[in-house]
Amino acid sequence: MPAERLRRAAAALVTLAAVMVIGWGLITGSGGSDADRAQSLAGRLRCPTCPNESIADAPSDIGRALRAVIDEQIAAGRTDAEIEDFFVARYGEWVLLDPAPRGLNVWLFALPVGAAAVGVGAIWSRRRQRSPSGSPTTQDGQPVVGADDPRRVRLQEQIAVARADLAAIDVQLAAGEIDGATRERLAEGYRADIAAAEAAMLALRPEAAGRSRRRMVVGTLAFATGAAIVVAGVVVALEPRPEGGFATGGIVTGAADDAPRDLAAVTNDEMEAVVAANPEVTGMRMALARRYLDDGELSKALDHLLVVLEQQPTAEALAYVGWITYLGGEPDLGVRYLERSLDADPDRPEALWFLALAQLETGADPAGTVVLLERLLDNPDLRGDEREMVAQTLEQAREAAS
Amino acid sequence: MIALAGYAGIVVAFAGAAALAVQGVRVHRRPELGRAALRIPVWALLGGAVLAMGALEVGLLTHDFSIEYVARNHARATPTLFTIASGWAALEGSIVLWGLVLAGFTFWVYYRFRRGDGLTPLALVVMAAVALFFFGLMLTAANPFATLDPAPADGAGPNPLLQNHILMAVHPPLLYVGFVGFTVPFAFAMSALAGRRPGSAWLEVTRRWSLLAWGFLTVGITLGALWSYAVLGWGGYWAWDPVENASFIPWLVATAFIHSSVVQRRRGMLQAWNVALVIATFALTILGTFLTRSGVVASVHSFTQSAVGPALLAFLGVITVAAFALFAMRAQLVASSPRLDSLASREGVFLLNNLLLALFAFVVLVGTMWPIVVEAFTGDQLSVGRPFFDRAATPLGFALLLAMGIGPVTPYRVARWPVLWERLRLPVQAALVAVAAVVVAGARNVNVLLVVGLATLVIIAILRHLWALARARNGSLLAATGRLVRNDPGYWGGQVSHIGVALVAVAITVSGAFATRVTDAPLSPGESVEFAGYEVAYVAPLFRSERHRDVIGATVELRRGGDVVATLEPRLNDYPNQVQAVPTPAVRVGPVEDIYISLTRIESGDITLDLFRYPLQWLLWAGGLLTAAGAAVPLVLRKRRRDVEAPAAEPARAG
Repeated sequence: MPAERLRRAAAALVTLAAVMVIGWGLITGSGGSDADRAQSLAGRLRCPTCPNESIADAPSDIGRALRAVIDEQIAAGRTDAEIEDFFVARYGEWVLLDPAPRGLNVWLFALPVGAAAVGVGAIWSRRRQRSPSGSPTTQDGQPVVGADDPRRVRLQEQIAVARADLAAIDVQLAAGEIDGATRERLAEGYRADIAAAEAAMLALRPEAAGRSRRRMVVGTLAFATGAAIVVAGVVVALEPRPEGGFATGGIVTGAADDAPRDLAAVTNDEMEAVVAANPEVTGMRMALARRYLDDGELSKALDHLLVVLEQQPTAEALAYVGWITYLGGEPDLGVRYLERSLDADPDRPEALWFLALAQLETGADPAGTVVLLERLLDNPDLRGDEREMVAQTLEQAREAAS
Repeated sequence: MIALAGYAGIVVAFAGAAALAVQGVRVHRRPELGRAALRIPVWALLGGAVLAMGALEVGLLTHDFSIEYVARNHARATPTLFTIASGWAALEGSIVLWGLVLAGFTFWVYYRFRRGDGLTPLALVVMAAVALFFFGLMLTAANPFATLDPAPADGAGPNPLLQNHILMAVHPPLLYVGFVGFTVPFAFAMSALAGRRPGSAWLEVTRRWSLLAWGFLTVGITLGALWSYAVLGWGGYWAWDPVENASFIPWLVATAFIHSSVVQRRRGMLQAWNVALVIATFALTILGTFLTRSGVVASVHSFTQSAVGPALLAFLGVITVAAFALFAMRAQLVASSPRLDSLASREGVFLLNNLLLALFAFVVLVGTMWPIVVEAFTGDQLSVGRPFFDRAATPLGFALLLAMGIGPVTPYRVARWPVLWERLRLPVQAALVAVAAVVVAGARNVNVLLVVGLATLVIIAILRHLWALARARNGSLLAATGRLVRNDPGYWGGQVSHIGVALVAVAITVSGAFATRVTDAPLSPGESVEFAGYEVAYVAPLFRSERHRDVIGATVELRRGGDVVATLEPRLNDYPNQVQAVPTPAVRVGPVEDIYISLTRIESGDITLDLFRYPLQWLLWAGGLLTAAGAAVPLVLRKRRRDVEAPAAEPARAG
C-alpha cells in the first residue's frame, strides 16, 4: 500500500526533524543568572519570623531584608553552600527548608529510598511462577465444608476469575492483541489455577472451633497493648513542648514578657543559642535584649529588638528601639518610635522616661515633658531609687518649662 | 435555648450511633431482623446531626452570643454568607459538619441496604463506631454549644483569612465529603474481614462511594489551591504546607486504591493490598484532621490549638491498630496467589502506578511528619519544605505521567511490542513534534520540555485509542463514541481524569518555569512601572469602609501599548478583630497569563507592590476540575447490568 507507506515515511521524517530540533534546543540551553540563583536560594531558606514561608515567599520586612542579604552575598562572589552556611550559623539548621542529609536526617532520605526498594522487590516477587509442568489431574469428589465457608467462597471466586480469564484470552486472540502461542501459555496457567483451586477446595477440612476463638483473644490482647503504647506515646510526645510557641514555626501568641523560667542563672551565650534555635520565643528574646541593654551592648540588643518588633510590636520593644535609635544618631526616628510606643501603651514607663529625656536634651515641648514625667511618677511599680531620679528630673523639666 | 437544642441533637446522635453499633451486630447475627431493626438508630443519628448543625447555624444567624462558639466566631457585622460558613470555619463547628456528613453517609448506606446483603450490617457498625468518636468529641472536648453568662453584646467575628473570600465557605464542606466518604469503603472492608466474607464484593459495593469521595477530595484540593492563590497574596497556590499535605496524602493513596481496585475486580489480584490501601486512606484522613485541627504543626492553616488533638491522635492510633490487627488475623482470607502473567501488561503498569503513588504518598508523609517526630523525640528543630518535596515530586510526577500515557492502551495479561507500538506510535510522534514546537518557541527548561512531551503523549494516546475503537464500530463516529463510553464508563471516566491531570502538570510546570516576579516595587500616585510587557500605573489610593471591615488599597491600571487592559484593586483588608491587615491580591485572569498584583504596604499614599506573571495559570484550575469530573462519568452513566457480570469482555477494545 504505497499511500500508507508514504504516510509513514512522512511521519518518520517529521519525527526525525522534531528530534533534531529538541537536541539543538537542549544544547543551546542557557545557564541560570544571578537572579535565578538568588531566587532559588531564597526558596531554600526559611524566613525566621514568618509562618512556614521561605524567604522568597515572605512578604514581610524581614523577608525583604534577607533577600537583600542573599543578593549582597552573591554579589560578593560567595557560593550557594557558603551562603546557606551563613544562614545556618545565624539561625540554626532550622532555617534550611531542605535539610542536609546528616545525623538523624539521613533517615529522611533513606526511608523513601528503602520504601522504593521494598516496593520494587514486592512487584518482582508477584510475577507468576512457572506453572506446574504436566496437565493437572482432575479429582473426583465433593468438598466436605459447607458452601458458605469463607475459604471455599474464596477458592470459588478464584476459579471464576480464572474461567473469565480463559474466555477473555480468546477475545484477545481474535482482536490480535496476543498470538496463538501466548494464548496457549496463558490458558495453561489459568487451567492450572482452576485445578489448584479445585484441589484445595477438596482438601478443606472443617475449622477447629477453638482456633478462631484463640486468635480472637490473641488479637484483642495485641490490640490492647498496641493502643496502650500509642496512648503512652502521645502523652510522652506531647509533654516536652516548649511554652510560648510551637517549635516548627508559626505565630507566637503568648505575651511578650512572660519569660517561662528563671533566667538569672543562664549566660548570655546560652540564651543566644536558645533564641537561635527557637526564633519564635519572643519572651526569651526580649529578656536577652534587656540584658544586653543593661550591659550597654546596644547594637546586640537592637538586633534582637528588631526581630521582636517583626514578631510582635510591643510597647516595650518600641520604647527600647526608639531609645537606641535616638542615641545612635537618628533622634527624629527615635522620637517617632517612642511616640508609637506610647500610642500602643500610654503608661509604658520606659517610653515615658526616654521620651522625656530626649525632649529635655533637645529642649522641645518643655510643658509636654512635665506631663510625661508626672505620668511616670503615677506608676506604682517604680522602685524607690527610680522614683527619686524621676522626681529630680521633673524638677529640671519644671524649671525649663517656666 | 438554641444551645440546649443543639446539645440535645448531639446527645441524640451519640445515642443513635451507640444503638446502631449494637443493632448492627444483632442484624449481622440474625439477618432476618432486616432493615427494620436499624431504622430508629440511623434516623436518630441523622436527625441528631441535622439538629446540631441546624442549631449552630440558627445561633449564628440570630446572633445568639450566649453560645461561646458564636461569640468567638461571629459578629453582628459579619455578612450572611460568611455567617453561614462560620458554622464550620472553626474547630468545634468543623467537627459538627464532619459528624453531619458522616451521618449522611451512614444514612445512605442504610438506605441502600437490602435483605440478603451480608456486608452492610457490620459496615454500619464500623461507621457507627467512627460516629461515636466524633459525637463523643462534641459532647466533651469540642462542645460547640458551651454557653457564656452573661452573653456579650457582640462577638469577635470570624478569622479574617476565612471571611476574606467566598471560596472558604465551600472548600471545607467539599473536602469533608471527600474525607468522610472514604469511611464507607473502609467500613465495608472491615465488615468483609470481620464477617469472613472474602472476595471482591466489598469493592463492587463501595466503588461508587469511593469515586464520589475521590471526586470531592479532588475538587476540594483544587479549590483550596485556588483559595491560597486568590487570598493569601504570597503569589503561589501550593506551599507544601503540612495542612495542604494532609489532604494531598490521602488523595494519593485513594488514587492508588481506585487503580488497584480495578486490578482486583478484573484479575482477582492485589486483594490484600487493596485492604491495606483502604485502611491507609481512612487512617490518613484522620491524620489529616489531626494535623489541621490540633495545631501540632504551626502553619498558616493551623488556627486552633486544643484538647481535641490528643483525642484525635489516640483515635488514629486505635483505628490503625485495630484495623491492621483485624487484617492480620484474617490475612489468609485475602491472600491472593501470584497471577501476574507478565510485567509488560496492563496489570504491570497498574503495579507501577501503585508503586509510584504509594511512594509519593510515603515521601510526602515522611517529609510532613519528620519535623514533628524529630522534635518530639530529640527536641531539635528542623524544617522540611518546598525544595525537599519538589525534588521528590518532580521525578515521581514525570514517571506517573509516562505510566498514564502507556498504561491505558496496554493490553491485559501480556503486551506484545508490535501491538503496543501500533497504539503508541502516533502519540510518541505527536509528543516529539509538540516538544520541538516548544523548543522553537524559545523554551529551554528541561522540565517544561518533558511535561509538554508527556502530556501530549497522554492526551493523544487516549484520543487515538478512542478514535480507533469508534472507527471499528458501526454507525457514525459520534454515536459509536457514545456507545463506547456508555459501555465502559469507568475506563473512559478515568481517561477524562488522566487528561485533567496532564493539564494540571503542564500548568504547574509552565506557570512555575515562566513566571515573572518583581517584588517590592515602590510607587507614588501617578507613577508607573514596566512589568512583563505591561505598564503598571498607580492611579490613586482607595479607602472604603464596609460593614465588617475597612478596605485600604490602591487603584492600579494595567496598560499595554497605551490601552488600559484592566483596572485592579490590590487591597489590605483591615478587620476589627485582627491587628495586622489581611493582604488581598488582585488578579487579572487571562487565557495566556495571569497578572497578579499584591499590595505589601501603603504609607501616606505611597505603595509597595509585588508583581507576578503566571502563564497558563487558569489551566491548573480547569485541569483540577476536569480530573474530578472524570469521577463523575461512571457515577452518571451507570454501567449496564450485563457488563458488570462479564468483566472480562475488555479486549473488544483492541485497536
